[in-house]
Amino acid sequence: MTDIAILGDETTPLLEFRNVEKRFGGSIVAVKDLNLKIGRGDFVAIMGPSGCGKTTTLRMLAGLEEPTSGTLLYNGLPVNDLPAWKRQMPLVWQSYALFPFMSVLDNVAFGMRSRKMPKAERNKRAQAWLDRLGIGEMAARSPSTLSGGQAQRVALARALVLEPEVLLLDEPLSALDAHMVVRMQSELAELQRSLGITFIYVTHNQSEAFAMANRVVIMNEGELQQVGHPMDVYRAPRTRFVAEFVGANNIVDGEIVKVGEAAYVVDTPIGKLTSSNPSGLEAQTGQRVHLVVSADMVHVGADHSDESANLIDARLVGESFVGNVVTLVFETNGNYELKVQLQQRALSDLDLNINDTATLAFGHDDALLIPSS
Amino acid sequence: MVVMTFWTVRNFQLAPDFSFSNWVTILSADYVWDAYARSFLGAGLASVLVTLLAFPCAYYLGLKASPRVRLIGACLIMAPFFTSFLVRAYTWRTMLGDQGVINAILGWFGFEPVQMINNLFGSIIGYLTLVMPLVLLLQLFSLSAIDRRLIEAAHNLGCGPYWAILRVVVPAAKTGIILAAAFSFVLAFGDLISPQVLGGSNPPTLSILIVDQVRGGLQWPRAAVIAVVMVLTLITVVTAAMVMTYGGNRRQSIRGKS
Amino acid sequence: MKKIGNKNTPPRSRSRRKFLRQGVAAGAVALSAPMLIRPAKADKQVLNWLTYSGHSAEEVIGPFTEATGIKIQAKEYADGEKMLALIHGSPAGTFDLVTSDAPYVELLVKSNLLQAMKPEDYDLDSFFPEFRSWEQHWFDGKLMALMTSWGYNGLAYNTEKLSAADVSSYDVMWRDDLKGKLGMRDWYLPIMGCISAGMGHKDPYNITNEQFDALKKRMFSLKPNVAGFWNFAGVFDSLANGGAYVIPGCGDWIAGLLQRANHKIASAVPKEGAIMWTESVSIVRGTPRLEQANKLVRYLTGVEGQTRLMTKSSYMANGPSRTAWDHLAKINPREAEMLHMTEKEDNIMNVLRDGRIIPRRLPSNQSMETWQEAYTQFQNL
Repeated sequence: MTDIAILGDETTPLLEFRNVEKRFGGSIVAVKDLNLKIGRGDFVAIMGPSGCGKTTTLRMLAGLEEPTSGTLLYNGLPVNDLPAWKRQMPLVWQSYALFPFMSVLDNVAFGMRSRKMPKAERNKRAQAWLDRLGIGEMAARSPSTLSGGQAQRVALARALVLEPEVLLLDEPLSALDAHMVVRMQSELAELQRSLGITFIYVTHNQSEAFAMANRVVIMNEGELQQVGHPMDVYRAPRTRFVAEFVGANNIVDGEIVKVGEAAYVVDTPIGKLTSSNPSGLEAQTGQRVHLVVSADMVHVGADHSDESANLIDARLVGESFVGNVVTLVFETNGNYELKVQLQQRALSDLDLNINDTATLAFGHDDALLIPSS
Repeated sequence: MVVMTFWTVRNFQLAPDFSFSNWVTILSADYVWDAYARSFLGAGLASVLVTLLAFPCAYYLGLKASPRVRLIGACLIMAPFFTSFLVRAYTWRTMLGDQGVINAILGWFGFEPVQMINNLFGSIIGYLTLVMPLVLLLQLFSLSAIDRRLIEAAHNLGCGPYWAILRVVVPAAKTGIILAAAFSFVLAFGDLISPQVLGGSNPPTLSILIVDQVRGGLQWPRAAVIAVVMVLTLITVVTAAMVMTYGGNRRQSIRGKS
Repeated sequence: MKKIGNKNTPPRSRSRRKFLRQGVAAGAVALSAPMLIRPAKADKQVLNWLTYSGHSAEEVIGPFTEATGIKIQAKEYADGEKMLALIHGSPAGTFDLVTSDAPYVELLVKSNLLQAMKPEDYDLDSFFPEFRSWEQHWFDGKLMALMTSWGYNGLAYNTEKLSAADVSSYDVMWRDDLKGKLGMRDWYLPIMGCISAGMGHKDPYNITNEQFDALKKRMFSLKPNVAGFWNFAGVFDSLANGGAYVIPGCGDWIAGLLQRANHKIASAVPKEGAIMWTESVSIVRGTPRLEQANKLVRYLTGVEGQTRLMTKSSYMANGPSRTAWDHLAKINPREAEMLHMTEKEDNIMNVLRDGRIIPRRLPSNQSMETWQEAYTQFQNL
């Protein structure tokens, strides 16, 4: 993965958005001044809530939307005016968009028809991809008779049979059952690794993105928020939006009251907290900041003598379970909520009941400062 | 109507009967079969032509135009429904005549007058005028109902705009297009006004024969024979159109299950 | 036609009888549906009149309604055969009066549908002598109809393309330079009558089978010149717009309308003779409004009604009334000229008396279907 990341940073990226803007009907801005480079072989996930511009970004890559201004480069060459049918950037649609009036095989062979390939060769290649994706026996069926997972594979085969450099995927798993999603995630990731081509994957689902991508791009209201390795984005969100979007984070507003050698003291409604992780912020005394602590970095029932930790007394008010993970909700003195995530096994060791009071702790390292928005 | 084909006419009066003489008379008459072939080919040609002529317009309105333009277009298409077809046919007759506007324009460029009415061309113009609004509307409905993502998917898979029309738009709108063509065949096959006013009954079609059978001695039963033949033809054509539309899909899914 | 429909023939089987019974019911519905006419009302001041189109217009019967207060509820038709279908297909009492072609009066009398009229009820003295005792109106010494209009079907022609000498014979229709300029009406009767007259048949509809075959052959040889087969509107438009230079089966009734619109169209009675068309009014037997019906007959045969029938906008007509002839020449000499109703030597009465306008009779040796079929074959060539 490290190698791929370096590839992505080459001087000539595979794809580049340079000050790209897309407006609809003159006034509605879908994508604002986007600058983004995508490297060869990357598995990029573009994430954000609906309406953030992620799908528009993908459609601009496919040539289905034209940027209002700015330049889109492919291998260093501007492709703004290159029509969709000359781009060779197949897209896997959220709705699959299979042609209902053709057999599965004809659907997969469709893209090769414009390449003047003999029919026998087209069908051979199409069948080979269907076999590879495990749906070879569906070749003669009508798409309307397929299950969601089968249709998904047909859509994938239809795109991949063209041997593209870049595969675009628009929320391809959103219409699948939960157990199919997990299976397809690993298949897609495996496929991308073995083909070595660039996948650009649009999703609003963080776990999907984090499970597969080696680069995530987070967008909100048409603006790029943060780009990076999933873990980096998760651990070091740069904006409050990202901090909220990527996970169960506790966010407390405050003001820096002291700038020390390696630590900052922030005055917050739940007390003075220390952070040694400004994440690139050149913090100064008096500055308003958000202090972010990931819920899984907060410990329950700590020893008050630990000087490298922030300590807060709080009362347990609620708990919720998702699989093996428990989220505890505590209330502090100032009626602030703090979330704590831990393994279910760890919870039983704590012997904690609702309305019990406990001391919560998180390390100075784990308290992240981001500028107030 | 079928019952009446067995009746006889005496002294201008219909008499219930069980006689095959009407069937024998009509089915053994050469002119009836000539008129049949003519009506069939005329209506067939009209439905092919109207399908080809209406498609670009319906394509533009259904898939390319803004909703506003589409609405205006649909209103314009429906406008002819509010005028009498007879009036439209006579308007064509005036325009296409030897001293009509079109021949006048041709005359400025030194061309001899072209005969455009009192022949098959005139009838076809009439049929097209009759069926065009309906075909346009049906095609417009079926084209605007196409999932645009299918067209985008075709472009995305390297298929240019013209091939996309042929390989995706037409197959996706096949039901509507065939239905519209079948409708226009039905309308043109039975139309009396076009062959009479614009075709000059020269030569006659089945619908004109029906009228003449009644005129020449009130032969309602013989007219009914022709009408029954026409209805049977139309049922056959419409059934064939249905098979063309739906049969293909069924075959595909059956093949899939084997 | 086979005789199995005859009442004397016993039914062949139960099923056949059942078939016929159901057929009659279905047929009655099929026939009556398009011809449904409101049954006569008890209202004495409304007359139900089955007549040719254009007769019930305000321009024709306006003064009658104004003077008598009697309203006319008319059912109009365009060909004589339709009239026969309508009168046979409607329940008794539907009509008080019927206007028909003179030859069809005989058929109506045979069906016992008409009421004898009293000659003294009408001002027959105002008629030209030949119309007072018109043969087709009298049966067993009883007057069954009175003529209201007449005219001829000869040749209508474009006076800028053809001269009066050109159209003095039907032979002009075969001229090579008229290829595509010969128009035809879509009704077999006047056209075939003209061609038959052109062959020298003095009674054009009563010809032997050999003569009929020759007529067919002669007619078929016209086909290369034929531009089209048209109804009234098509004939009018083709003459007006140069689509045809000559059309048989036409007369002053249409040429006059075209002249009104300043088209260079005239009509002629060729030397072989033209076919006479007639319209006669009869009173339907059993009408409860006999007195009112008589009033209408008197109006239609009187000066006002005659003048208006002659000059109506649907088609022009000559009339049987001498008085009306004089009246029209006085009030509207131009229209009188168009109808050849003048004191000149070539006036229409002189042509009639010359025997060049031949009264129409029903075909006797062949059925009407045979004539129609020949015409259909002609169209189909």
